[in-house]
Formats: sequence, C-alpha cells, structure tokens
Amino acid sequence: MKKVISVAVRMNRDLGSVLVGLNFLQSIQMLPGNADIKFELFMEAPGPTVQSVLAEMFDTAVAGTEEEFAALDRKDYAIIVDLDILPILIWGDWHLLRQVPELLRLGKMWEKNAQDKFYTAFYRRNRAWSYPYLLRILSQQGKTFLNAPDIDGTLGIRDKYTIKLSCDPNINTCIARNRQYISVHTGQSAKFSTVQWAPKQFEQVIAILRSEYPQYAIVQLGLPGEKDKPLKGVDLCLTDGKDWEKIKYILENAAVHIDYDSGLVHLRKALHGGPSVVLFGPTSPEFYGYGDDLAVRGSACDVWCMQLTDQWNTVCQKSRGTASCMASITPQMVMQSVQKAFSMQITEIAATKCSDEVFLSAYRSPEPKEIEAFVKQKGIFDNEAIVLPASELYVCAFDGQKAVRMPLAESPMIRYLQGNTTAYKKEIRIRGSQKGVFRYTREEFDELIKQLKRDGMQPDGCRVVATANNVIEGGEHQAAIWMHLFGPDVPIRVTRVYKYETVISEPEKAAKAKEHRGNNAL
Amino acid sequence: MIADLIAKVKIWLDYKLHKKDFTQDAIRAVADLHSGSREYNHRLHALSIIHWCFLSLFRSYASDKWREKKGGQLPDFELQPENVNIGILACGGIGDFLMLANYIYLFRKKFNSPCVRVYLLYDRNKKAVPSIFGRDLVDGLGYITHGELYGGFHQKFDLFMEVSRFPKITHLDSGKIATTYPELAGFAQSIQAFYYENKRQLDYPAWDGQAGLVSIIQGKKRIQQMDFDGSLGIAEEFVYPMFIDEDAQLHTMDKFGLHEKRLIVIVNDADNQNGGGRSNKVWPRSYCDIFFEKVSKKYPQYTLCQLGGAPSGEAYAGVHYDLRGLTTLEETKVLLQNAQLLIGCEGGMVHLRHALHGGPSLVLFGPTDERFFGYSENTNLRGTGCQTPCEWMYDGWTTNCMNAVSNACMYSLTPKVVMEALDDMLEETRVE
Repeated sequence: MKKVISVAVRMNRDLGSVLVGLNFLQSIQMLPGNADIKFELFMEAPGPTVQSVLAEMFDTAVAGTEEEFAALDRKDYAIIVDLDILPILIWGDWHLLRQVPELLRLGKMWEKNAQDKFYTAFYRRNRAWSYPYLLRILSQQGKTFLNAPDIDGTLGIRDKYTIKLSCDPNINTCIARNRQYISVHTGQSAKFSTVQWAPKQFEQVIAILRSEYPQYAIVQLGLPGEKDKPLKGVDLCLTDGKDWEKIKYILENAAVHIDYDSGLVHLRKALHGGPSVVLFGPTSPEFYGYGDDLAVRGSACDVWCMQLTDQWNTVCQKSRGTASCMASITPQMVMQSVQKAFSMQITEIAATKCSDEVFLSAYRSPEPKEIEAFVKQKGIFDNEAIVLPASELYVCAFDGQKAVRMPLAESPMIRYLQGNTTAYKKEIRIRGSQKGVFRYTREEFDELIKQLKRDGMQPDGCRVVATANNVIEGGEHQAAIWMHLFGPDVPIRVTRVYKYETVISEPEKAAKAKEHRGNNAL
Repeated sequence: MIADLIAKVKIWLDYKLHKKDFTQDAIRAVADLHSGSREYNHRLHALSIIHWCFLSLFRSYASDKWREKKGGQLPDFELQPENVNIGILACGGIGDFLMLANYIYLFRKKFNSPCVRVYLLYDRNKKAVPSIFGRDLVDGLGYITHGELYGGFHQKFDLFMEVSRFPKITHLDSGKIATTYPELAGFAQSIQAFYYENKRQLDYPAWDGQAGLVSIIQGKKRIQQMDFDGSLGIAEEFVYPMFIDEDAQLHTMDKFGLHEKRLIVIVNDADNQNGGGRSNKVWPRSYCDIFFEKVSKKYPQYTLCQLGGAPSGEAYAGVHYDLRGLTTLEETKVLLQNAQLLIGCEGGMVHLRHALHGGPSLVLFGPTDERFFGYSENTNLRGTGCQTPCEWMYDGWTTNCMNAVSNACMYSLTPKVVMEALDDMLEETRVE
C-alpha cells in the first residue's frame, strides 16, 4: 500500500487563481513516486463559485483560513507551499519527500527561488506591489498566469488546462438544444471599476451581433454576488449567479464568449470551451491572456497598471476618472475580434515557441544551409558576410578551467598541427570535464585533415561563423588547418553574427586595444 | 551657551547611537532575514546576523566620514529667522541633479520673494554639484553626510525636503511658513498629500521603476516627474540656464585641438553605482569597435571623440580623440554643447547635453525606458530583443539580466540598426 504524504497549500481566493492553482496541484499529483499526495487547501472565505469548483475537483472543502495556514503544525506536512503567482516554500520535510523525488527537487527549487535576492527580493517584501515588476519579468520569459507556477517547466504546464471541469450535459438552459449562442459578461457591479467596459458599448456590440449573426442567441452571464443589469438585446440573462450549472454549461458551449479579464474567462478555459474575446485594460494581456483567445486592448494607454498604485482598480492614473484604456476600446474593435474568433484566425499571444537550437560543427566549415539556419535562431540579432585574414580570428579555448578568447594562431589546434599535441590533449581533457561545451576528439580532427587532403584545398575555401569579437563559433578546426597551410594572411570567409557573448579574455582585449592606439590622435 | 552645547552633544549622541547609516542598514539586514520564506531556527538567524556584522567591519559607513571630518564644520548658512529657509537634499546621479536644478529654478520663479531662501545640501557627487547648481541658483551649497543631516541639522530649516524622483518633505514648520509666506504653505501641503497617497514610491527606491511607469501613463518625462501636480509648469524643455565656466568656454576646444572640427561625441559608460562598464546600459564593446570604425570611414568629415570617466580599456576602434578621464565637467559641457552629435547609451551626459541645448543625440536604450528618459529632439533607439525596460524590476538590474536571451536589449541594437539611425539623422540635416 502506498504511503500518503500531506501537502498544505495557501491560495488566493479569486476564481482565476483557484483554477490555475488546481491545475498546478493536479500536475504535482501526477508526479511519479512511492507515495500518494493529499492536498489541504487554505484560503480566506472562498465564495460559492470557488467552493463549487473545489468540491468538484477535490471532493472536499477548504481546510482552513490563511490565519490557520500561518499557524500550521509543520510536523503534519511533507511540504507547505504558499501559492501566489509563484510557489513559495514555507516548509519542506526533505526526508518524507524522498518518496516523491521530483517533488523533493521542486521543493528545493521553490525554497532557493524564495531566497534568491536576484529573482524574488521585491516579491518577498511586498507581493502585490511587486506584481508590476514580476509579471513583466515573467512575460519576458514567456510565462503566463497558467504556467508561471511551473517555474522550470518540469510539470509540463503550457497554455492549456490539464484539469477539466465538467458540467451537466442534460441541464435545461432555456435555449433550444440545437441553437448556438454567444455569451457576454460585463461585470458592471464588479468592485474594480477600472477594468469595466461601459454597458452601452456592450449593447452596441450586441446590436451588431444580432444583425450580423442572427442565428446566435445572446446570453448574458454573471458571477454570484454580481448584480449586473440586463443588457438590451440579450435573449437570456443569467446575471444573478444562482444558476451556476447553467452558467458553466453555457460557458463551455458558447461559440464565442465576450468578457473583460474576469474569472469566467479562466473558467471557460478550465471547461475546455472555445475562444473568448477578452477586453484588457489595467491587466496584462501577455500574462493573463490565453493563446487561443483574442485579447482586445485600447490604444489610449500602452502601460498596463495593475498594482502600480494602491488605487489602480478604482482610479485611472491617466485621466483620474474613467479608465482611458477601457474607454478607448470601441465596439468595432470587439467585433473584429469576434469575426476572427468565428473564422478561427487566432494569433497566438502567449508562449511563443522558440526555434530549435542549431549546432555548428567545430571541425569542418559549415554549409551555407547550416549557416542560414544558424542565423535564424532566437538571440542572433543580425549577421553579415565579411572576409578576414586568419590572423584576426580567435577561438574559445580553456586557460586552466577558464574559457578565454585565444588567437587562432595560438590555439591548441594550430599547435597540434605544428606537432605539439600536448596543448590539444589538455584541451580535450578539460572540455571533457566541463558541462555544456563542445567536446573535441583527436580522431575527428585527424579524420578532417585526411578528408580535406583527399578533397583538395583552395586558399579561399574556408568558411566560418564568428561573433562580433571574431570568436569562431563553427569551423575552427578547418580555419586552423587553413592558417597552418596557407599562412596567417589567408582570407577566411566569415559570417559575422551579432549575439550575446560572454567569453572575452582581458589580455586579448588589451592586445586589440593596442592596435587601435595608432588611431588615437592624442 | 550651555544649552547650545547640550543641543550639540545631543545631536552628536543621537547621530552616534541611533541615526547612523550603519544602524539603518543593520535594521534592514535583519528585516531581510525575517522576510525570508522559510523560518529558520533562531540559532541560524543569530549566526547570519553575526556573519553580517563581521562583514560590516570592512564596509564603509557615514560614521567613517564623520571621523574624517572630525574638526570640520557643518555647513554654516547663517540662516535668518525673518526668512523662509528651505533646505533641499540632492539625491541620485548627475542626471537627477540636472532635473533638480531645473526644478529649483522654476520653484524660485514661482515663489519669487526675497524672503524665500533655498539652500542645497548634498552627500555625493561633490565635484559635480557646483558645476550644475552654479552660483546664483541657490543661496548656499553644503556637503553633509546623511547621518549628520538627520542628526538634527535638517530641523534648522523651515522646510526641508529630499528630492530624488519626487520631492519629499522631511521637516516642516508649517506655522512659520503659513504666517511668513502663505503661498508656500499650499505647495508644501500638496507635496505632503502626494506623499501619503504614494508612499511606496517615495520611501523605497526599489519602486522607482513603477513611478516611471505611472509617469509614462501620465505622459510625463523624467524631467517633469518631480512636478507631480504640474504646479511649477515643468515641460520637457530644460529652462534653467546652465552656466559654463568662461575659461572653459574660451579654451576647451583649442586645448584639445578640436577647434573648427565637426565633432561626434561618444559616451558609452555608466557611473560606478550602476555597474560602470559592466552596466547593462552600456553598448557592447565589440559592437562599438565595429560601428565606430565604420562611422569614421563613412563620415570622414566628422571627428570622433570619446568621453567618459577614467578609461578602463582602450578607446573604440575609429575614435580620433580619446578624452576619457582628461576633461573637467566644465570642459565636458563645452564639448557636449559644441558637438554636432552625441552617440551613446542613456545616462547623465545625454541629460547634460539636453540641458545645454546642445542639439540632437543618438541614444541607445536598454534597461531604462525611452518613453520616460528619452527627449523628443533625440533619436531614441530600442532593440527588438527585449521590449520590457527592466529598471528597478529586480535586485541587480544594472548588471544582471532576466531575459531568456541574455542582454538582448543592447545586443539586439546591432551596428547595422544604429548605422541606419545615424544615416537618417545625418541625412535629415537634423545634425548640422
């Protein structure tokens, strides 16, 4: 029988956070190990919507309040986590966690992250205040609200929910079974006034929808506690939040859902419903948006201001009145997105995929096709074709355990060709002990020499890829052969790539600087 | 006399015992320990504190400066009780000082009364202060350490404020101001009201980046930021007439052999506080070598002159004059004013050229936001590698990078991109 380990988790109580949190917890539950994981959730006074979601997913109610979470007896738990945007480790019993090795590793990472000044210093000091920073950093790293808790991607959370909330397929929605519909949520009565879009604007959208898409019924939805007034032109109004099962059913099956950045958008995703048209104002579309939704953002203000000031949700910093970001969204903009949603022309806004890394051989000259693929990689910002004498090229080689920029003329490859094998052997040995570096072998070098002799060598036949510091990134062995054979002035065709580089040795910097000294008039 | 002596001893003791920077630093260090996510046992906490204290033996604090200054005098401004004496502490780097000079100039214009006296105190950039604040802008300039200042010295003024991004009042004799110069009372009140509404952005420099974002939303540039309610009418244009030493004005160009040369000034450096040459603001050296070599060949009619602090390496390829570490601030002003163009990373020298109405600059932006720090007369470049300026977003933002592609902001500003911008500027005849 499998052992059971207890995990205590504190979560924010809004619907979006709970859904994202549950998705995260389910991914943890799937981790392989010799123990079953039992979660206990802590949050402050969850509303009926959240309670219903928790009951469905966990078959249990919330275990306690935030105060009780703070006073937990640690001995009872293998791990205690505070889940806000990121998981923060409060306690970890490493011995118990050995039963689930991946969770042990994650726990240690969360602990390290929480203590890492570089990453989360501000976050630790004041979470809400740090959101404008943290969310921008996470977006920059390609993270979204849904997958931010999966810090290093171990849990495989991307841009889709792995949990699937369900709803009763036989529920009577008061709409004919074969009729399609569009759902709308206005959130007029939500406490955050800056995120709201004017009901009149919604009504204009509804009027256009009715004329352009008469076959669709329009259903207005609301969350429990909200008391949105019915909009003109809707066929069905479920704004009192009482018909929770109906709301779920309609959200799951609506052809398009139109909403501001609210919990219902997250709920629709957790129900694996279709696309939503989401009106973003003070919150970040890059972070809170989903890849297959359509984010609409006005042009009045290009800085999202969530938590930027203490009154961000009630006072617009630009107009000091109505939020100009929301006011600048027009019904036409919304309709354009609705049309896109119908035609399924959805541009992914989140989790942009990186192109695969391209590796060049350290031995032979790269082929033009390989160079073409190499320069298209993320992180290479430009390239140009130039010709340089071999004497101006460098290689990245090891000076002791430190990688340095070394002139090609002094490289281990040249010395090997000159008959001094010691330096090359040393280079092979050090590279063998380093992580993430290309490893050399004498056999491959010898094979290259033989092959080039066989094929014939022309003075202009060597191509390399090099950085702005003239450090060769591909084809360094062949360049060494050319230099050895044709002399230091042999022209080498270089594809110069502009990218970030770390290896620049100080002595070389000084050497290059000396060359420039001649230019100096003083 | 005895009362005076007792007051001095009290201030001294107060400073020595409670108001030293070391003490504040220690409080912060302990608070940091407690704010960690994992509660350690008290022994580990104690060991961490001991470790921190041990390291402090080798740190430099205001108390060291106090000892250095022993026997020295605090600034003596001979404050007259019939005047409204306003003290201002200048904070930040040269760029911040320039903004402050403009602020004080417009403040004095608005509250133009012989009874209003403004005194400037500073605890850094000793050499730059007289050159920026000049002779007539304030009624007195004085160097003081932070500890000395808040050891009671600031209370000598009727109104004392620190000005970094925003003005923040740290001492106010509201009764005296209300009776002597009531117009100023409303101004002080609005500063205080602003402080209570925006405490986070005024109390901790870590939130400066967010204050900048709020300003962008409000359509304000850095120069306008401290005029938070627009009461001084600060615009993007620098109105304070920055003076230049006559001697420097007359002789600088000849001294460096630059007379009648069409000058492009290069400044690609950050102050040591911001990481110096290692700063993320600085354009990569390899790019500079390639770019300026190309510029010197393509535009031989221009003379390339590199400015900056003491050189840490040799000048960039293609540079004709390497004046790093060789110019005084007055001479730098002359060069900035006479140059046809400035090319460089965002920093104090770009602001100084703007203040001198020197003409356009080609400014390369990385961690800081061009919408906030950029000027309309300049070409403000941002690379495509990173669209999120990260100023103050995390500890170590000046030298570390959070982007998945390291330093993508500056590395994506390739020589080609900058050359295209330069070509545009030179062809548009924006540069004469």
